[in-house]
Amino acid sequence: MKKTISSISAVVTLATLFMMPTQAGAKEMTDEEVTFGRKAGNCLACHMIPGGNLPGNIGPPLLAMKARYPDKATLKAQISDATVRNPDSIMPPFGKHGILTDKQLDQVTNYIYSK
Amino acid sequence: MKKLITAVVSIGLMAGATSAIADMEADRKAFVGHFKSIQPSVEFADYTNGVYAYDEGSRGQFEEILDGIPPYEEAVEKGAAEFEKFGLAKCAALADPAAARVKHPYYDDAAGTVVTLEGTIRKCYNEQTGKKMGPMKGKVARISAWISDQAAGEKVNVKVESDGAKAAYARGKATFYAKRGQFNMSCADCHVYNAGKKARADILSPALGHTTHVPMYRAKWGSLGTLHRRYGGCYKNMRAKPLMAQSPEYRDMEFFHQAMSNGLEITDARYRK
Amino acid sequence: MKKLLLTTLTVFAFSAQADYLGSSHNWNDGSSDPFKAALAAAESGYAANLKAHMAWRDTGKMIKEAKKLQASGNTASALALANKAHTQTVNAAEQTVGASSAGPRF
Repeated sequence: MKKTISSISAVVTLATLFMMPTQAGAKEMTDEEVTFGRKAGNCLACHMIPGGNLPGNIGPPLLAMKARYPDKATLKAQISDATVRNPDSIMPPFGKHGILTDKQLDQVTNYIYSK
Repeated sequence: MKKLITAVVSIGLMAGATSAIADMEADRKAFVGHFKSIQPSVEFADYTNGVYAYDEGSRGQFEEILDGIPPYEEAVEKGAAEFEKFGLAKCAALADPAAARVKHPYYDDAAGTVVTLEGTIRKCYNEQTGKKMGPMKGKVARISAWISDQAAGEKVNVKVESDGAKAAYARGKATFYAKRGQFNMSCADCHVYNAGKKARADILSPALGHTTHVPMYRAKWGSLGTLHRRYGGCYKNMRAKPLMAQSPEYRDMEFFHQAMSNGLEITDARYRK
Repeated sequence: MKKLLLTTLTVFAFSAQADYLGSSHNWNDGSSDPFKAALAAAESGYAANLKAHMAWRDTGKMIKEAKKLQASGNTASALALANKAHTQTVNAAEQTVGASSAGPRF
């Protein structure tokens, strides 16, 4: 019981610290984890992102995203299905093909948008 | 750019005269032209070395491995012994191993299908021993590697002539260029359009020259594997369901894939990361 | 055989934990209609994907898993997974259109 209480408080603290969506569960991934994780977004496979190690260079570096995407929803749509704008795009349609959940798409969008 | 256009146009004119092989040869020239445009400094002949034609650093490691005892040397020697032991030389199609490597893959008009070197090896093994041979690794890869070693220095020379062959080639080409799997990627997305770029720290290998060193030894596998084993791995990575090794679809794709490397030297340097 | 035993044991384990009659009743009934419909859609879509050689890697596994979940009385998860599998087959079918005429962009 004591353990549960302490882990709950840890989660709450973490959630507050990182401003992540406050859904319960110790396994909740952070925005960065969803973005970098090889079994999640794995954005580094193709994109340079400040703070990420060993990035690929197939896609453009993810920098100054606020300038490039004044409307955040456009960025999310691009991550969700890049083939709408360019049917030839090599980028997997993360939302349309269910590679990431809608919540994870928001997390990646948030993380990338902060860069 | 102008040069490229002139070249493409003149190829087009030439192709008109020999319509039987026009499709494949025009495709191949355009394919080679694409690689020239993305990596102007890399010589055509160097594509025999695959990804090592692109990256000095990993080429150094590659050459060091080849200078020592390559990790597949023992397996290839075993392949030679197995070729002997199973009496594969008794099959006409394999009696001259070097010729067999250069002849395959080819389109068998009577059977209406593409015949691969591994297909011929498995068929011959079955005729000689009454047993079946797997299509991806182990015996088939060792024997195929030894046979291919005998043709080192000769050139890939796939012929696409009959209507049936052209249809098989066209199917294989479509398979190569079609986006598939949950990741929605085609073979070409990585190995044509983005060859030489990095996925994390890995350099994407150029499809031009892919078939000069098959079967290959991959450090990731720790063993030799056939081209179709690699196809299966690529499909899985794209979260597509792999087809069976030596399925008609993979044989058609190999037919196209090998034809794109026509004119490149077959090599016994089988090591890949 | 092994699979059957495993499934039986799993079902038994779940039934023992929950209301025995309730979950066995669920299982004996086969399934609720929405699940049946979702499963049928996923299975026929997957069969078409396979035939076109354009199936996705995990669809088959998802269908199997959905059936297991249903058999163990976890109907909500079973339905969600069957729907997910069906969506995969729809996306794969979309890729199939034009796949046989795909070619280079140069």
